[in-house]
Amino acid sequence: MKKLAFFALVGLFSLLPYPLLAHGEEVKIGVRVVLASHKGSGVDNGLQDIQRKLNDLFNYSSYRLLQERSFFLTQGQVKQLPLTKGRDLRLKLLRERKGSVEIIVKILREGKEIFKTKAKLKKGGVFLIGGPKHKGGVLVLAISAQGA
Amino acid sequence: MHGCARFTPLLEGYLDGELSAEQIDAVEEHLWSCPRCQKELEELCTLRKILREAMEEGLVNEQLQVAWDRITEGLTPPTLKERIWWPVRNLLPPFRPLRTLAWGLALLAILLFIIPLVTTAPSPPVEVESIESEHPVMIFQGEEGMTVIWLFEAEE
Repeated sequence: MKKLAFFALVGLFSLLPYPLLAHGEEVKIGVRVVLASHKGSGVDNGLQDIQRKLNDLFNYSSYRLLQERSFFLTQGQVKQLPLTKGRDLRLKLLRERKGSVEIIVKILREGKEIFKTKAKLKKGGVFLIGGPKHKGGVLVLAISAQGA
Repeated sequence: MHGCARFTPLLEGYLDGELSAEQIDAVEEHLWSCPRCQKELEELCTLRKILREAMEEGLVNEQLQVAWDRITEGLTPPTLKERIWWPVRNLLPPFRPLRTLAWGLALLAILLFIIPLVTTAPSPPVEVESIESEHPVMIFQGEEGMTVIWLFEAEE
């Protein structure tokens, strides 16, 4: 009888759909704004974890961490951050499912959308958006997502 | 319970007291958990009772026809469905609704969730699904799988 109850419980719990379990979960989004340039050299301490990747990907001599923000988003929630004067970053969490998140990232200039991407990240994954010119260098945004 | 085919032939001997002590133990242990053999035993007992009563009455009255009539009254001939189904039933394991339901649910869980989880190919850490930009854009991946979207923006 105990075996029977065990199998029945396993069966019933397995039937709970994943989206239902994950519904309403918060996702921690991390944003680091980096100024990459040839002025000076070195990598700020706050970028130690991605230093090797930055050096592999780009050939700038200096990487300065301009700002670092982290916040929680739930499905459908939007967060806007100022990047530099006149530039903003807007993030929207579309969906959180099975260890990955779907987000929309927009870059606004003077309130006008100049860039938009939709990406799916595994939790713990990081991706970079680079290129916007700033103070003789370029901005590199490191965007990461983690489960709450 | 499993093993009905082994125990069914022993039931007559069990009622007649012809079995060894080990066989009696085995039959009783099986009967304890097997409703089908319990029913079989009950039917045997009923049949014997009908036969005994009919024979006793016939012998008392010394009329074999009376005994035979009593026997046929007590026995109901099996229907066509029973004649077809019973031999098949004896070959199948007994039907247990709860156990069958539990196994069914477990199988369903495996089909719906476990197999897709095992068979799904690993996805890359980052998948860029779409990009819209006023400026030219390039996507590339580093050696360690880091995805980069590069925006060729005009001078600030």
